[in-house]
Amino acid sequence: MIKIENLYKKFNDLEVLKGINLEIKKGEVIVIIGPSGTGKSTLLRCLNYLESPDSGIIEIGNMKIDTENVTKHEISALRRNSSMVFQTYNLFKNKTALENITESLITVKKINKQKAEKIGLNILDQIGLSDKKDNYPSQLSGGQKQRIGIGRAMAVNPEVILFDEPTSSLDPELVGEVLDVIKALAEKNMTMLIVTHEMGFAKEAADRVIFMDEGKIIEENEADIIFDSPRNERTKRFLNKVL
Amino acid sequence: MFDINYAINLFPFMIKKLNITLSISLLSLMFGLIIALIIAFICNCKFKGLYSLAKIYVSFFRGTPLITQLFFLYFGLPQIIPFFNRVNGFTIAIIGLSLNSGAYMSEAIRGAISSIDKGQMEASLSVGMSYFQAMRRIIMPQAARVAIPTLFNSFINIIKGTALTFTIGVTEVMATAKMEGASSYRYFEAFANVIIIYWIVVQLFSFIQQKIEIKMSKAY
Repeated sequence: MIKIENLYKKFNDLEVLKGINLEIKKGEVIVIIGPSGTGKSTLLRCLNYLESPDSGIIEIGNMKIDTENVTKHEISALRRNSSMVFQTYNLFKNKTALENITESLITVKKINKQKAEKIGLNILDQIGLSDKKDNYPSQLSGGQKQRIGIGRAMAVNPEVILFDEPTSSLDPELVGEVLDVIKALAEKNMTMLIVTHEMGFAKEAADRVIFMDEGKIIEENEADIIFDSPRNERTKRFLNKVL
Repeated sequence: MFDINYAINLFPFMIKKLNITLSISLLSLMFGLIIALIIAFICNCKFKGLYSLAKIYVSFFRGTPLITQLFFLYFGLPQIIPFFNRVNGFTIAIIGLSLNSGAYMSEAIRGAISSIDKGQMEASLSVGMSYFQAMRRIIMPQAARVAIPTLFNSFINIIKGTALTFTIGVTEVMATAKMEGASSYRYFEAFANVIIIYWIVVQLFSFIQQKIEIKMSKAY
């Protein structure tokens, strides 16, 4: 369903991803943890092609590309199979909450406006923000913004939603409402790949936890096993520090 | 002394020529904006080759006086390219002012685009939009709000720049004042009229600018 083989990415001389191999099944919730600067975000951004990997194979849904030999057309086809939730929300500032959600339906999927709005209102209902449909991002709280960000990602109806530290810029009391939305999505069998520092959430919601360090996947296992009895020394040291 | 009757009687003559001034201004604004958008896109995308050309264009037209550009186009070019002998002053004025203001406005637009957080573009791409869809629907509407004050400045400079076009044979407000002043020796009244007309016109557009800015700041 999602398959990453030997993914490499360098920024100038800095090797950020050193051969990532990962398979994700439909409906799986995968949480990536690890120290900062180890390439977790870069991995997500490569999957969405916001960064171009140097080499490796990426397969998402029906789209398989060799990153060393890829056309513009393939990139946009791959992008349409995933969507992203950003740490800093990145909501379209000139669009209302509802328009943020319907934008991709109208411009990318060419769904007519009325139908798109119907889908958008349904999503707003799911994320509990129906009353904010006509508000601009500047009028929303951080938690509300991020829920809209998730709604926007849902509208794409992707094979996988990529979460890049979705709660890291939120006030602590607003983290819960965002995590609740993500958990609700997990219950609906949405495939998700989540980079987060919320260990409690990882333990509770993840089907599988991946520990990354220095551009490599060091250990991956079920959440309980990783948190209660990690096998790798580096995983142990990291978890001792953060838990 | 100041002959108020002469000044008032001269007014209608000059107002009649205002349509020349305004058509040059508005057409130059339109073509200038088109040039500016193209140049801004080239600079934003860093198209190889084209990028250096765009940079040279901007530095040339910002780095030389408008009047020398107009003279070069009107008196200089026909000697090299005979076709330009058949192009009248009115057209040359529009070409010159468009190229000149295009250079300034491209910088304003480029600056406004780069002031937009790059997360806006990333978010657009992440939901599957193309670069041009993102530009049209997300980036440019936000950049426009940033650029409007500077663009109106450029437009005001275009309007005032039309006063130079009498030197290449365009009979606009300034030329009328010069001719009337010369025939009656009443330069003071003639040029006082010119100043008042330009001032009122620019005030009018400043008022429109204010209205647009208020409307845009309400938007989001």
